[in-house]
Amino acid sequence: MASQRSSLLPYLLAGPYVLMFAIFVAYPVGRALYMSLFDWGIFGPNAFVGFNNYLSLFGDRRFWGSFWVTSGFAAMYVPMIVVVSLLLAVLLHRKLTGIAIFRTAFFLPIVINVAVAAIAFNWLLEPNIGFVDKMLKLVGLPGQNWLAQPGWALFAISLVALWINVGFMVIILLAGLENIPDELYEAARLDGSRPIHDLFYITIPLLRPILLIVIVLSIVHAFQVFGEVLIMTQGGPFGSTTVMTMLLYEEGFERFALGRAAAIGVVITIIIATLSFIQFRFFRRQV
Amino acid sequence: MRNAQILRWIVLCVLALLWIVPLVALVLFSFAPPAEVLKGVFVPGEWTLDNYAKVLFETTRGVSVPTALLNSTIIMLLQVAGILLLDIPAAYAFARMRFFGRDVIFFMVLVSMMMPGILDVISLYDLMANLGLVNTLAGVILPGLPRVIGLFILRQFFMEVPKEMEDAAKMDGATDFQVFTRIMIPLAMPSIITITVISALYSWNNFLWPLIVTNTPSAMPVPVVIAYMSADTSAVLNYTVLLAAAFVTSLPMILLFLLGQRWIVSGMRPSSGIK
Repeated sequence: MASQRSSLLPYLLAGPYVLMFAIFVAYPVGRALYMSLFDWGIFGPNAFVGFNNYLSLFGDRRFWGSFWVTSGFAAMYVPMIVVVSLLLAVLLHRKLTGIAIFRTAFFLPIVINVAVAAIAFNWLLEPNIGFVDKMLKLVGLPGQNWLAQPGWALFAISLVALWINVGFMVIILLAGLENIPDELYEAARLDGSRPIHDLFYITIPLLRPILLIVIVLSIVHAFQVFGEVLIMTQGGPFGSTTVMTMLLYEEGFERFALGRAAAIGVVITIIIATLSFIQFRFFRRQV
Repeated sequence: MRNAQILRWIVLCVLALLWIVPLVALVLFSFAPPAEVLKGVFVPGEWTLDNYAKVLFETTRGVSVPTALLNSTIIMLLQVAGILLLDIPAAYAFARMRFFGRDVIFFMVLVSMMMPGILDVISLYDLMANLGLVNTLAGVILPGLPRVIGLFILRQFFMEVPKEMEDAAKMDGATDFQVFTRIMIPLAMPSIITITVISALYSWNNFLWPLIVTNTPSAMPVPVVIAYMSADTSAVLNYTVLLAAAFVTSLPMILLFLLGQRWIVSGMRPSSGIK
């Protein structure tokens, strides 16, 4: 009798979550794959087109343009956030006067939403009146219309993404640093090792699994960058910041080519999954 | 060694200053007349509360910041409550009970964690349109409920509670359900607080899905309204108003951060879930 009742209990406990997961996660993912096989307009499916959405994407210059823009973004953003967050984590790891204030300064952007960050940076990057130009003028360098120039706009956006996300990566790296025993550093110091050697011969090798997490997460973030672009440049100037998510947004919600947009989502997912998989394989061999 | 410490301190000072300047500037100029922005000064020469008066009492192009604050507050409260109500029992069942399909379902949940949110926004929008939930708070709230992170953190916690505690309670005549409510939930309180804080943060700041499911200003939560305001052609002329709106709407999360920094940090550490 008692066992009869208890055997129902797990279903009652897990059931609501599983149901919501099925409706709002599993079903939409399945439906995204399904939609990507159709010419799907605002009023529903027009025709089954098989893999034509994918094939037409691969023949579309705009798609390849967005692919290279996203890759360019990742190529700037990922190394930058890995280096900066590692530097900050090493600097913030041990006790120091005012360490709590320093940590707060880098962690605070975590709670600022992307819209607020984007408008703040839009203002700071304004030509002539923005802080960035004013500071450059102080040291005698020329200002720019940062967000209006194809060469600079994507870089400016990658700096904003760095500003927002670095605290999160520092938290992850600090957790990793705590697991490296202090004795290692003490032994190295007795052997006359310098701090810079400690970094390359102790910290980075032992931090490898955590660094891998940081790199993979940063790549995942980079291929999903969206809010910063939408608010700061809307994909311009001249499409130079039209990342793949931006193209998906335009196809889906401006042209209402929902099947094609769903196909872009699937392609982004496949790219992220492939890159993550390669990273894990590569690093596992190295360790 | 002494020099190394001083160098470390100086580097941190410079970087921290760089990181904090955007926010400090935002706050300072939100209290300045619009003309101060155009002058190109680092600190405003004049001060005013006009920007806040506009943000809190005026409605332009259907945008009202107080409405957005109200929307976000309702969304946050319901979403956090929903997440906790779904996650706590489910995590317990996944961690300590056997049931049909448990491992397969949990594997699917894990896989979903690695999928980008952008994958299903199109189909989710289509689903919400069919359910008539576009431009409703329910439309914003529902897809955020089966979030994986809380389930993950709590499952991890429940798995580590020793079996002896459960057995001892059962010896005293407790049922399985009582073990869960009287023993496990109180034990899990620190994890539950962590999940409450990071869920509140996610709920308030989430941008992509609310942007897609709302298109009338009266239904928009805070980040979407800020984006909507910034797209206004007169935004540049009224930067200070935009900054005031940005600060007012960020204030609840800044306070949450100052009060609950350690919970936020513990929720984001890899050991607690994000793998």
